[in-house]
Amino acid sequence: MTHDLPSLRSRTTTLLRTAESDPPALDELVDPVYVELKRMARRQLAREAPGHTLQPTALVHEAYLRMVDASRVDERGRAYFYAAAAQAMRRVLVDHARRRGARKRGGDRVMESLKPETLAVDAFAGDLLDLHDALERLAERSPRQARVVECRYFGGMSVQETARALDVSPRTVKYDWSMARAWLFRALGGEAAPSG
Amino acid sequence: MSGSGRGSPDAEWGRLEELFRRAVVLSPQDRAAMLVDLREEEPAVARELEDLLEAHDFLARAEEREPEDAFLLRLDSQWAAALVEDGSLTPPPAPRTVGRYRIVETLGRGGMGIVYRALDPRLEREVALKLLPRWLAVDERARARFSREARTASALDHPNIATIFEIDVAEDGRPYIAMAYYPGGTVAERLEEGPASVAEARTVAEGVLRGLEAAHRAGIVHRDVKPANVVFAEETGVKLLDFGVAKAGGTALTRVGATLGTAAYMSPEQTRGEEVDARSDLWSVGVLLYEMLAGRRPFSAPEPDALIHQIRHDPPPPLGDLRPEIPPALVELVERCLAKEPGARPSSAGEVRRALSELDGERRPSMRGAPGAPSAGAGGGIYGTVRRWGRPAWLLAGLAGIGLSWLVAAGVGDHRGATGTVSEDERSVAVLPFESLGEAPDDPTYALGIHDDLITRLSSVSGLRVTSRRAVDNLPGDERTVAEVAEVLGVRWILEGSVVASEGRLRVNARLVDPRTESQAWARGYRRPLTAESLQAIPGEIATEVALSLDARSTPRDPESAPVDLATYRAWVEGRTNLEQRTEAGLQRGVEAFREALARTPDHAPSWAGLAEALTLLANYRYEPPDSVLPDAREAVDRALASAPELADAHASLGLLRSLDDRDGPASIASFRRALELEPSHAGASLWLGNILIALGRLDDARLPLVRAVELDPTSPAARVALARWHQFADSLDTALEQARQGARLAPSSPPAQMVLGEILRELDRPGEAQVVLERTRGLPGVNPGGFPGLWVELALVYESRGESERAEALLVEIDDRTPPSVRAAAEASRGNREEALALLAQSPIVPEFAGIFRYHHVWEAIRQEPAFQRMLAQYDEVWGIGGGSTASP
Repeated sequence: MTHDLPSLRSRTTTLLRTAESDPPALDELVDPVYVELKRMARRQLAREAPGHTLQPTALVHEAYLRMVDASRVDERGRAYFYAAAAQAMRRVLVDHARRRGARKRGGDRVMESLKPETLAVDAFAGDLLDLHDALERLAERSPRQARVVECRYFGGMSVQETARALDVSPRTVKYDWSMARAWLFRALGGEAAPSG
Repeated sequence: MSGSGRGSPDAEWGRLEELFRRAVVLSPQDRAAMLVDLREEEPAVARELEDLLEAHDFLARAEEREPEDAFLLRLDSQWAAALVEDGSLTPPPAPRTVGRYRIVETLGRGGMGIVYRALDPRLEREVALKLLPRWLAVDERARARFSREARTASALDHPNIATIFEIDVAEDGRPYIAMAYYPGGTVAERLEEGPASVAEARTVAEGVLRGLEAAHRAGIVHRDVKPANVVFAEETGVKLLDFGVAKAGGTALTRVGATLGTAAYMSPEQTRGEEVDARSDLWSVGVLLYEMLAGRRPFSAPEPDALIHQIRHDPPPPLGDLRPEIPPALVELVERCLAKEPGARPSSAGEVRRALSELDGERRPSMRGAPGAPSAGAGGGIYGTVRRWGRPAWLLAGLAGIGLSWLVAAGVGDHRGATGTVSEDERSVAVLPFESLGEAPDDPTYALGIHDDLITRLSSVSGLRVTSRRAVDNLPGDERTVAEVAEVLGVRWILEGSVVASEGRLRVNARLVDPRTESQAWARGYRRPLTAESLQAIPGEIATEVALSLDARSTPRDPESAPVDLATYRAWVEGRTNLEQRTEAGLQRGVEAFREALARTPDHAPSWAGLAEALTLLANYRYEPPDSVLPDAREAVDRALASAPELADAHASLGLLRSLDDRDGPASIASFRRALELEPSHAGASLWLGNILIALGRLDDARLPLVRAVELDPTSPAARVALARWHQFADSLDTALEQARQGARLAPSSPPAQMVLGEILRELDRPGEAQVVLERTRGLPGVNPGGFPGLWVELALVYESRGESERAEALLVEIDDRTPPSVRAAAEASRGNREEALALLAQSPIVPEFAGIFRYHHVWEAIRQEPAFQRMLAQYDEVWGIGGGSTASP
């Protein structure tokens, strides 16, 4: 498929404009965003552009500017874009992890939560897949909390942005984030040491 | 969303959510109450809620401690790697320049970045430039951690550790490290050519272990010892690379995805994500040794899970089977390093290194297949065709001592207990006078007091050498760098600080500085109310921290004294400060000040001890007639020891008293020894002990105390002169000369110091120089034949040896009947007139201070073996209480 920016742009903008009344199937957004993010990243690296623009939030923002006519989209639409980008990000990582052949480890969890010096074989990739699975399980119990984690963690979105994207109050986002983290921590085998 | 009937998953979750929201903002008590009720009504939910709350609290607490390590931290870095490394991206070409360095070629790529060979145009040298990957550059936290670690590692200065020149950031924000370029290649590259001989493996391992020793001592664990991180360098053998870089880079779920390669060298505890300490490095050394010897890794598997399982549970294929000619002791050593439990491994790099060096000679491995021998795989030789490590001969010959011994104990971390033995010098510190900041007139007192107290406390730490207060007080006032001071005093660390006292508040800052890098290993501030209690507590805390930082063998002794009021404290400080000056005025003023302190606080043991010392010294230096001060001194010592039996100063003063007053040699020695037991860095006790041992005819025993006295107080002429005398008596005249020169330089107007120098020069047959020195000495104020008859004798001897007999005679005429007979006897003895000498000696009273001279000085050589002389020596024995009549045993 040739990369036709003007038509991509117009398509995406249209999707987002109608976001309020007709929330688009997320896939429609996620796929193009996914592709565009990868393309942009490669291009930047090939140019050896300054490293700082490779920060996810900045890259997503740039992708937004490329793919969307901002003047024709409101805040809600924009938040949707970012939420889709968060999903795209998650997918990028999960695909990458799977490609590297990392496996989940069942009982023998390599991850110990808060030790900075831990380095284990493909630990990140493995942990990411664990997180991905755990997140899927969380989504079965609370889809909203899973989305919050996705937005905040994978998308680097602020509480405000997340609230807008998911159409809930910021307070809800905060509580969701607290609880989801605690739940995930447990789900990933984290041991909470008793308070000293 | 699915249905929401009661009991359905959604409803349950909804309830849980609602309860969580409520509970999370409650106080602990309210929360507990809520849970109690809930447990009765909805036990399952209560359990889950409790679990979640516990996890929530734990995360909150942990993040408070270390915000950088927050769970589910923002993904700032890893995703970029994911975006890039999908295989469709060709590596970008090497940059042309990074900073001021010009890139020449790419040396290699690893998980933590790319290494280039580069040229530094400014210094015209080649460097190895390690450039951090973009994704790491992007992550603030990782970058900060990397910088910190790199700086810590760069402070390690050791022949077996790669030298880091510079750590900086390129224009694109990527951090880089510029290090020395070692063209010899890595051990990994060599291993591609085949295994090493036992000798080579040992050599490499010894170098690595030396480097690790230095690092562990400084509190740094390498964490990534592997063949790729050991590089060959011409002169010093091998160097360790990539220190602590493995540590930089991430936390749970923002961690670096390591490659399979690195994992093969990970210790079992590393694979579990547990705390690693130095013993983890030892495991890696075991793997390294194994691989060098066997030509293959001990643990290998195609998949990470299997590999990790092997590391954790399976023993490696026995080395002995793979290569029978490896000495069993070496095989066993490698096995010990590869023990799954850290506790079962050797406890330090030093231990392993020593074990390696003690190995007996091994059976010689054949370096090549013999001519005509079957080649590859035929079972001959070691591994079929043995490839030589075709490298410089020095490596094959086996290097003798590779490198020698060196801390930034930065973030004294998880290494304690795993360090090797250290030479005393590594644990040596000088406490510089604390700066007194602020304007209040009381200030100097507090800085002085804290300084003095701190030195005393640190001096009591065994395994730590602390420069005497005298030495640090007497440093020249002009601006000197920490490095210069450390060199002059011969210490490894400098402790300095400042004191501000104002408006009833006390602010003390202290820092332990590494003079080699001027970086701070430890620093702390104290803010307390201005009371004597704080003034005593703060040095105690500082001393304890410093002792721990320097990994000393003990903690500081707590001087026994009840807190006093500020006025007493001030008077005591004044006493101590004056006492240290050792001048007559100083000692007198010290006496007054201590008496002042005691007037306020009659049982203040340190003041009694100080008073005793001041009075005793007044007698010792002849500033006061002994009879007038020694009784008071004795009373003071008794009072001091009565309330503080473990006060080192008091024991030292008692030793002096027993020497000066009682002439009880053994008792005196016992007191000095006790003082040194309590305070190993007590310079005075060391010096006086040495001197009394000489007087008692125990020359050999006197060496160490005198050497120590100089170490502790390198700027004390008395210590130098004493040590010079010792060497003079022991016939090591060159060393004697060295020390005498130092003493003379430190005290140009001190006749005794100059005289010793002159004497030694004469004994070394350098009469010209001796003459210069002795004549200069004679010209010093206060020098006359009555006071320094020895000088006349020496000078006369010099003239004689230069053939100027008339001048010699003229001098000796000046030595008349006022001169003690012993001195005239010396003159006679040195000219070989034995009868006259003996006759004069017979008339000489016993002067206890001369015991050492009579026992050892060369001037008595000719008559020493005469029975009359020996009888005289026996009398000296008696005077000093040896051969019966002592109050204590040595």
